Amino acid sequence: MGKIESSIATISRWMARIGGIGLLGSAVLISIEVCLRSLGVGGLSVGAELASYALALGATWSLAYVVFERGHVRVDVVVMRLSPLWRSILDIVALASLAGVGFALSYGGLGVFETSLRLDAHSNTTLGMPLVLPQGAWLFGLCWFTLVAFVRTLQAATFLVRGDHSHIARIAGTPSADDEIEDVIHDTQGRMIGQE
Amino acid sequence: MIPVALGLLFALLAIGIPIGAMMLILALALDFGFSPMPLYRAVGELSWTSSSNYLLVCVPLFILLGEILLRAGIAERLYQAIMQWIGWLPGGLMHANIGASMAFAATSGSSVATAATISVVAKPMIGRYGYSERLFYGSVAAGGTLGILVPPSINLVLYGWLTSTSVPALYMAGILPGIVLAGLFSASILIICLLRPSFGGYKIETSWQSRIASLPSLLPPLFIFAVIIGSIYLGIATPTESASLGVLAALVLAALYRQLTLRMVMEAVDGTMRTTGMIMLIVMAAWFLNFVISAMGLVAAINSAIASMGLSPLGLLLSIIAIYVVLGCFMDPLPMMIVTVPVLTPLVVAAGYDPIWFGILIVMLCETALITPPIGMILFVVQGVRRRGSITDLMIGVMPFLVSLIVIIAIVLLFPKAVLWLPSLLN
Amino acid sequence: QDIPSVNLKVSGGNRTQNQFRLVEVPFFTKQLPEASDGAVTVNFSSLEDLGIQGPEVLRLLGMGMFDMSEGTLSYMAGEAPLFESLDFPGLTSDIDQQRKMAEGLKPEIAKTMKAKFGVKLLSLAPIALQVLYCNKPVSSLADIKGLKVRTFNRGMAQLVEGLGAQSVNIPFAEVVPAMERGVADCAITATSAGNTARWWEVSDHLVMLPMGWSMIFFGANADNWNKLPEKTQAFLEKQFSDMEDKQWAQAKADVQDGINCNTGKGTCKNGIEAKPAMKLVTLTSDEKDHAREILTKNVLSDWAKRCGSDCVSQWNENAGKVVGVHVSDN
Ligand code: NA
Ligand code: NA
Repeated sequence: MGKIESSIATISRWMARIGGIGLLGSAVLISIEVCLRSLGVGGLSVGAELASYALALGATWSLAYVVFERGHVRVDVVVMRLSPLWRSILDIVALASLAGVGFALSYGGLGVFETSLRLDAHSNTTLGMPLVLPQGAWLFGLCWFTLVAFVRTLQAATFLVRGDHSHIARIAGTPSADDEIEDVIHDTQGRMIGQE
Repeated sequence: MIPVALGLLFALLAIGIPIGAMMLILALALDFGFSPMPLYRAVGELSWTSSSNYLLVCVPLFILLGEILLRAGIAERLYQAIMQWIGWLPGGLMHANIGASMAFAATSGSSVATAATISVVAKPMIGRYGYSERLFYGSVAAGGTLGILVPPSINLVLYGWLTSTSVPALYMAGILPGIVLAGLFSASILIICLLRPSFGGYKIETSWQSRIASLPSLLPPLFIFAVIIGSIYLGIATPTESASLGVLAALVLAALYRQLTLRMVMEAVDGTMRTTGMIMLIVMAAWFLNFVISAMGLVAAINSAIASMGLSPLGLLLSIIAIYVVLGCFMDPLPMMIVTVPVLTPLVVAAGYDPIWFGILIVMLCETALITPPIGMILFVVQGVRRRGSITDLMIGVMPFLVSLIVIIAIVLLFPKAVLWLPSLLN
Repeated sequence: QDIPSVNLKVSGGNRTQNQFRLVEVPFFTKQLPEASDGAVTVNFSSLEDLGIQGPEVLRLLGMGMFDMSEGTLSYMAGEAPLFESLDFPGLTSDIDQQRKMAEGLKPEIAKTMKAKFGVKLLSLAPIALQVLYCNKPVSSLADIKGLKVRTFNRGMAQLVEGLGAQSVNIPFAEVVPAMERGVADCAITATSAGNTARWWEVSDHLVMLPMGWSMIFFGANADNWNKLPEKTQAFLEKQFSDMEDKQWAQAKADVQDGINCNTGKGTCKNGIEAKPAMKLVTLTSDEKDHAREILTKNVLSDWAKRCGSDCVSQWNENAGKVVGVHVSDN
């Protein structure tokens, strides 16, 4: 379990990084273009288009990483007030909803990709980018996100069967759950110090 | 349909479904329940167009800029220097948040980008001086809204295009309300910290000597600011391009401070993508939800209802404000403008109001929508960067600033001349 | 007319366009229902109503999201290079020539649209003539050299670069501020659209270099269309052909009205009188020839490669002849 989990986590982090490096690269490219243009030796104007592909790529390639980091923001007003069992169930429902939404987006994205492939679609710019390239990469990110969200849901569900609520909180809870865990640890430490 | 939609929205939020997922589920549910057209088929196309929208590129770039400034220690030195100067003021660095937001608002046309940048750089300061966390992040979120009021502004450009109104005049009109609003935000902080001194954090011991010594720390951020704003106003770059220049300038500074390592860049990238992924899922879902709500004719129905009611001028304005408050629960302000402004502006102009003035009013309503729960994009962005605690802290924290927004909207309604004074100098 | 009743879901163009306000809205909300004695009713929305941008509309129509849609032909040029062949920059500023070319190519465009997108073509017309708005002194075509021109498709970029200018890529939302600050010296849009968008506030020379016509079409989802009774189909085809005439007439009026409003000469009917008035820069016949030369050399040869020899010979025969341009098939 641990090994698969950590390799999925590593792949997800590196996918997010690649997306970020793409964005950083387009920032450099755009800066070069701006400098050349202001020197009057332009001719290059592909940065904007490439940056928009980098954004699309970065958007979906970081989604799985955000699942691991529990960064998909939730409103937890009600959840926080529930018993550990119900809290765990809702945490799992939240993860499952990400998997479901990922599936819907992947399914739609597949349609986009297929249409571009069938029509041999290119961007109508001097770059003339075959759209299947950025769209294919974008779609891959969506599929990976769906897979990761699904695996995480299953993982959390097995912990639910075992009644291990703190593990579920670690996988699927909101960050505020961490604060509570920290508080508990803090309190126990405080008490232990007091006893000494 | 609206009651069902609202009910579903609150139910999904209450059981803690992630915001992006919640919006997409809501959209699909509305489509299956109410729409005669198979709208779900568009989910792929719309997700692609929204996630590859060049205008959004500035958002991750500004976050990256913030992350680099943070990890090179530049942001920290900046805040410490500012603390030397305004530490005596009740609320201390929270005023710096507003000021920094104002500065970034002058470089970015997007409120999300402004809020994301400031929350990244301000985050480490929260524990240091003992501020009320809620109020501190509230000030960050509120400051972010200035992004679309102070020029440049994507929303004002869009308004100009939709209504044939002069964009330069709209830009001029946004400056004064932007400054006044920032002042009101600061005033709210001051008042609250005077009433509840514990919110305002500790005071620090300082001397004129250490104040003077802190000045050089202001230079690097000033350099970044000069690069971005200079490139825009000297006509070297568009606002989106200037974000790229800002990232590059930050890298150069980090190198000068001998902080530029591969590890540091990777950490900055990781932090950027954590926030970007969260935002982009919401963007894709919000785009589709907007499409579903618009394509079902909901907004058109509201628009024509308003048009046919024959309201008094003030009644018209008040019902428009009501629409923005209600729709602001579901929709992103930008698409909300696209579907309402072309229909409502002619009515407002026919009622005798100035279209430039109305543009500023609309943008202020958009600002309000960005920080009002349950769907407030800036709240999500700031919470995504914060990565601890509950989003309810933010919802409570922005309340005083919502009051400031209501006050300035009232001022704008009562004294239209205040908005139109600067643009009138153009002629 | 006794045709069975039917309700059509139709998406139109941008609300801000005269074509939308003055032709499409009356056609769908009045003419169609009245001419059919109430049998044909339409659920008609603008792109803004629907919250979509435009380039995705043909794909959505093909999926059956709408029964009929307006689309901009050149948006789909990346999928079918033939679709940009009525919008070549530098080719013609004569609307009658343009119509002849459009009529000539229509069957071929209809065929491609059916085969690739599953869409039946109903009408084909321009929004208006696209020209250059510049804020640097331009008195002849040669003055464009060295200027930064904001373009938004491949053909425009190639022509502008061929004329010695620099093509820059700026999103639509940033064009006006970019012109004001000088990030771009010139930008391209229709004479009328640029007027209502107040581009004269940030530019002072209206350069009549033809940059294409922004050709639009109405198409029907082929499956939904085939389900309609023949009688209804015949009725609709006749009605759309009638609307097409109105669109050409509107485009013609808009081109001149846009010039009048921008330059403050003649009557300005549907626009805003520019203050200060823009300077109108017309091209001499030598300059027009020069633009056409660059078009042939830089744009058409590249296009021919993408479009293929069948497509090129179709174009030569049906469109090229009208304007006296022959694309060599390499
Ligand atoms: Na701004
Ligand atoms: Na809101």
